Amino acid sequence: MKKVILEQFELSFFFSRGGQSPYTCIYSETEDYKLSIDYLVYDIPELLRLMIIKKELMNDDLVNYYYKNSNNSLCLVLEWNELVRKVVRISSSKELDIIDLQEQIADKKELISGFFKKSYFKHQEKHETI
Amino acid sequence: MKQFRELPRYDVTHLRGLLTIIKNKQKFTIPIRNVSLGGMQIISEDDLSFDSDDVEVQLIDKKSFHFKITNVWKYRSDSRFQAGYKIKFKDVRSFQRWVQVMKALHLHKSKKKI
Repeated sequence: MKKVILEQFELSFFFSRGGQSPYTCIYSETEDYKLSIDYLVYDIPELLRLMIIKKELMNDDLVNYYYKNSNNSLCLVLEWNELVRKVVRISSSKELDIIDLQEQIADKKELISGFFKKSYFKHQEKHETI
Repeated sequence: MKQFRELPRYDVTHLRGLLTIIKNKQKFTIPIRNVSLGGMQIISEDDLSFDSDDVEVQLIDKKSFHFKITNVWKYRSDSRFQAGYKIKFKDVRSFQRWVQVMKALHLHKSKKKI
């Protein structure tokens, strides 16, 4: 059942142990990502976009061209180190561009982070191996 | 700040992938040791640790990739040079194909572990 904490957005939470480890979906409000399924960095376009920009894999014009049809979603990194990666995919049902989307979630990061923690513990209880 | 690997790296020695690079009008074709979404590593008898605006990479099929590369490290051992490069894509199509290759390499690596 869909449990919306931010009405205008759809959230998906991913947790990874870093290195070669996949990103396990621990919470999802969209059909695109399913709970407990492992995804690669290549499977999450918003995370991939973040890596393209961070690693300067393409110039800005190419990045914008590549993502011209998916401008209403982004990736928020809550934690990123050698052993732990906590990533949130946020998409908007409204036709917001990425700058507007960033502005709208700017003051909601703490709320999202808190909900991530709860989702992680809940998922951890169910799957001892995580 | 401590550096750590952010993107998975894949050994491709078994694929006999090749990097073709031109230095002072001389063409070098050398085996690729490993790759990631954003880089690659080679071993060569020649010191090829320099930047280039156009290199050719052949990995899985005969269709080649063309990248811009920046040398980020080199290491000399006996008479051989190891070098690591950062990749920059010049077109979207190459990037899409490279992502597909990385995904295939990842799945292959995961299957080998099972």
